[in-house]
Amino acid sequence: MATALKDFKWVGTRAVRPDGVEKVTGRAKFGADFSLPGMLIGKVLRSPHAHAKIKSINIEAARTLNGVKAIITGSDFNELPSEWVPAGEVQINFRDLSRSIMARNKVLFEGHPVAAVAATSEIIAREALALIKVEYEILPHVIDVEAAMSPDAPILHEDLFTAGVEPSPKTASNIAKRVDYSSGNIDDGFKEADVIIEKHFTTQPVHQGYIEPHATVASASEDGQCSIWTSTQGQYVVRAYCSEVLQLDISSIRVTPSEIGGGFGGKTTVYLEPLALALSKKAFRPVKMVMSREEVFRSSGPTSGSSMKIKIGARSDGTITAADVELKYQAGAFPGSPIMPGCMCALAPYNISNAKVVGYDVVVNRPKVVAYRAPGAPISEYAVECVINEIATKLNIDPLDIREKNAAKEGTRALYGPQFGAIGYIETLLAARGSNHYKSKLHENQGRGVASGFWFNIGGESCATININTDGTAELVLGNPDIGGSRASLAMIAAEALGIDYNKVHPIISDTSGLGYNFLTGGSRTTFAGGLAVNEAAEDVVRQIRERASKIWDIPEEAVTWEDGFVRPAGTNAGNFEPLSLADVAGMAAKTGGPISGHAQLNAQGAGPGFGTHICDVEVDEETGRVTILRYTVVQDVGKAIHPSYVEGQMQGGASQGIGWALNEEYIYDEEGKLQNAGFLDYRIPVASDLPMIDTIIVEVPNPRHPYGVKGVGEVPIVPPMAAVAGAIADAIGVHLTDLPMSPPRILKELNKKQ
Amino acid sequence: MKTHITTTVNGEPEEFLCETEQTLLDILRDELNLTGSKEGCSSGDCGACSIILNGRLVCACLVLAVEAEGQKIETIEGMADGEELHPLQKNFLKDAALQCGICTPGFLIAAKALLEKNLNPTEKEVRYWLAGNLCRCTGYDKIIRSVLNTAEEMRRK
Amino acid sequence: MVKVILTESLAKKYTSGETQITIEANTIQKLFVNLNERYPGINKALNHEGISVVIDGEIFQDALYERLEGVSEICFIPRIGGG
Repeated sequence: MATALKDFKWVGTRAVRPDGVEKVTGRAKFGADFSLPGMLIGKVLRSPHAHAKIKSINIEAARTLNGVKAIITGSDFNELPSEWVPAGEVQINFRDLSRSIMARNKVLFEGHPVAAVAATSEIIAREALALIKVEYEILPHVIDVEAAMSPDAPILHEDLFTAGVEPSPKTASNIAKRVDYSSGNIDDGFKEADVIIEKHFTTQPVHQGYIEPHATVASASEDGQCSIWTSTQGQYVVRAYCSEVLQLDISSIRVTPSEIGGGFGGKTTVYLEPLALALSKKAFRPVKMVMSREEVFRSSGPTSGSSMKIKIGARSDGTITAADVELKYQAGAFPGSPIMPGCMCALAPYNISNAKVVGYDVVVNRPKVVAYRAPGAPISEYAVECVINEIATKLNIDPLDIREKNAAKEGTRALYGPQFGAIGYIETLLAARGSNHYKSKLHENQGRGVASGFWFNIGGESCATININTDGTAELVLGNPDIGGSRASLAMIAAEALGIDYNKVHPIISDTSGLGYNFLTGGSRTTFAGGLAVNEAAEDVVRQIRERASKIWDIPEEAVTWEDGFVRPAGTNAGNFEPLSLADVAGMAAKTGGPISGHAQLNAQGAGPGFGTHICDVEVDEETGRVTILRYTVVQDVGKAIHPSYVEGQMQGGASQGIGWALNEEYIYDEEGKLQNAGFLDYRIPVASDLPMIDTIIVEVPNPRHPYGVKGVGEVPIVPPMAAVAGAIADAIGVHLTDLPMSPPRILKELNKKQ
Repeated sequence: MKTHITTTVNGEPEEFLCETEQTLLDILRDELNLTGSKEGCSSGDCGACSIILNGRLVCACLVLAVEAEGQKIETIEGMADGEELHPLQKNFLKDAALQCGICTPGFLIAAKALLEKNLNPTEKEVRYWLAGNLCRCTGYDKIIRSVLNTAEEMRRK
Repeated sequence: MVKVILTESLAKKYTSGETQITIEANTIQKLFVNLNERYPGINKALNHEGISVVIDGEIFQDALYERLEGVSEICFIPRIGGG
C-alpha cells in the first residue's frame, strides 16, 4: 500500500461535515427524539441498597393500575451460562450482562434494576413503580477496592474464585482475576539503580459524562420481528446483546442507531434496550425508555477506580533500570475491569529491561464499569508517568529528556510480548520540546508538567457500500455511528478515491439490516477501519467503471485506466476515445449492466499504536488550593489527519476529560454505599470557564498498513492529562500528589503540611 | 386538570394543554415536537435545553409549562431565517465547533443571547457566559473560538 | 519454524518456564493445535477471555487462518476493545 503521501484533494482539508446543518438547526434526531404512534413509556425500579437479597417482589398493585401495560422483573429473563463468549471484537459473559441490567436474587449496587414498567404515560409509569413492593434483606456492602480484597470483606458472588492463581482457590473472593507480566529480573534492575521512587496512588471512578442520557425505543410485533431505535456506539452490538440476553434470532432484531450525544465507551453496552424490548414483547406496543441524569450516574458507566503501587529505579543518567507495578482495579458489581489493558499499557511507552506488572480485577458494590476512552490505560499510565516525573525532578533531568532516553521505538519489545512497528512516540517528545509552549516562562505559584500516553488502537470488522447514482453522485452507506465527524472523514476518503467532489458524496449510517456486521464505534477504529472499507468499496466501484467503459468503447478492460476521476484508454494503441467521468459512465449504467455499486467487507488489521505527549501549566491558589489550568498543549502522532479539525477536536476533548479526571471528578458514597453526587452540579465536569484554549500539535508518522496512513486518534489524548496536571502542580508547590482528584481540599492539606 | 396555555413560539402563535407539573421542555419536546432543545439533566446544570424566554436566556427544564402563558419563546428551530443560517450556525460548521452535536443547540442559543447583549465580548466573558452549557466532546476550544469569530464578523457588518 | 513468545505466568504453568519456544506450523490454526499437543491445556488458558495474535509485531484480532510462511515471531495478547 502507498505510504508516500501525495497531495490530496480532500484528505487533509477542513471540509464542512455532511451532518452539520442538521445538528446546528436542531433537526438531528438523537435517542430521546424518536417517537412512534401508540408508544408506551418505560421506567425502571432501582435498588435503594448497595447490597441486599431480594426476598420478594410484589407487582400486583402496579399491574392493576389503569394505564399499566407491562411489568418485567428478573424472573422474565432466561438464566444464561456463566462463560466468556465472543461478541464481535470482545468477549462477554452474558450471564453477568443479563444480571447487570436486571437483578435476580440479589441487588449488587445502589441503582441496580429490579423491575421495569411500561405505561401509557410517564406519570402513570412512575406511579406504578411506587406501587411495586420489594422486600430486601440488607447485606453488608463494600465500595473500596482495598477493602473488597481483604479476607473478611463481604462477598458479592459466592461462585467467584480468583482466576490466574495457582493452585486455584477453594474459597470465594471479590478478586475475580490476577494477571501478571514480567521480563528480566527486577531485583537485579533495582540494584543497578541510583535512585528508586516507590509510591502508592489512588484514582477515583469517573463517568464518561456524555451529555445525552441513554434513550431507546423498542417495538416487538406479533410475528416476532423486533425493531429498536437507540443511541449507541454500535447498532450491531446492541442487536447481538439483545439476541443473547432475550434468546432471539439475530435476524429477528433490527437496530437503527440514532444520532449519538456522546459515548466515550459508555454506550458500548446495553442497559435499556433489552428491557424496552422485553416490555414491548409483553405489551405489543412500542416502548420508549429514557434515563434521567441521576440514573445515568447511579447505574451506567463509569470506569474503574484504583489503588496502585509503583516502584521505578533509574541510573543517574536517567536510564530506567527496573519497574515494579501493582494495579488493583474496581470492576463494579461484576468481573471485567479493564485491568488487562491497564497492565499492558502501564509501561508501554518505555523500553525497560527489568519489569514486572501485576494486576487484580476486583468486584465491589458499584455499577459494573464499562469502557471509557482507552479503557484501563489512563489509570496505570497516570501512576507510572507521575513516578517518572518525580525521578526526573530528583535527578534534575528535563522530563522530556528522561522520556526520550527511555522511549519505545520501532523494534522495542513491549512487556506484553510484541515488538513495535512504525510508532511516533519520540517524534511527539521532539515536537513538544520544540513548541513555543515549552519554551515559555512561568511565574510565581505556577508550574509546568509533562506526561506521555499510549493506546493500542484497534481495527476490526467493517463494511461499506458505495452506490453510484446516474448523475455521478454517490451514496456512502456506513455501519458505524458517527460521534465526532466520521461521516466527514469517511466521505473525504470516498471522494478522494473516486475522484469526485466531496459534496457529491452523501454518507448515511445504516441500520443493522442495510449493511453487513460492523463492530462498534470505539477503540479509535472508525476512520481507520471504516476508512479501509470505504477505500476498498471505492476500488470496487472503479473496477466496475473500468469494466463499463471497456464495454462502451469495446476494448479490453486492461486497456482502460482510471485516473483522477476519469476513465481513459490506456494508450494510443487502446483506441482514441475521449475520457469519461464517473458521471458519464454512471449515466449509462442501465445499458452497460445495471446499477454500479461497490462493496467491501473486511476485518481490519494493522491498526497503528498511538502515542501522545501533553504539556500543562497551572497556577495554584495558596489560599484556596484551587488549581487553574493556564496553558495546555496536546502533541500526538495520528499517522495522518484526514480531517485536521476533528482530529484536533479529539485531542482537545480527550485532554479536557483528563483534566476533569485530574482535578474534579469523583464518586462520593455515603456509609450505606449510596451515591451522594449523582448530578452535574456535584459531579463537576470541566465547564468553559475552567479551561484555557487547548493547543494542538499534530504529528504525522504514517501507518504503513493504511492507504492514507491513518492511525487511531480518539483515545490516546485522555491518557496523559492526569500526570501532566500532577506534574505541573508538583512543579508549582513542590509536592508530588498521588491521589485523584487533586481537588482544592486535598491541595490545601498538602500546602498546610508543607508549612 | 390540564391548563390551557397560549404562547408565541419562534414568532408563531401556539397553544397547548399541560399538567401543572410539566416543564416547558416537556411541552416543547413531547407536545410541540420541537426536539431541538435537548434534555441532558433536568436540573439546569447542562444547558442543553437553553431557550430564550421573553428575551432572557433560560433552561427550559427549569420553567414550568404553565409559566409560559403569554410569553415569547425562541428555540433552536427558529434560529435560521429561511435557508439563511444564523452567523453562529454557519461558523459552528466552518470552525468544527461541534462533535456529537447534542449540546450544540444549547450553545448556539446561549451564544446568540450573549451576542445580542454584547457584540464585543472578551474570551473570558464568552467562557463565563457559556459556563452553564456543558460539552463533553470538544474541550470548548473550538466553540469559544467560533463565538469570538462570529462576534468579530457581526461587528464588521 | 516459528518463534512463540509466552508470558511468564503461562510459561510457568505450561512450558516449565520457557517464555520463547519454537514450533512448526503453517497457519495460526495449526499452531494452536501443535502448541496444545506439546503443552496440553494451553489453548484453553490462552482463549479464556478471547485473544488476539500478534504476528511479527502486528496485532490481528482474528488470525486463525493467517499463513505463517516467512513469519518469524508470534505472541498472544488479550483482545483489546476500547472506548
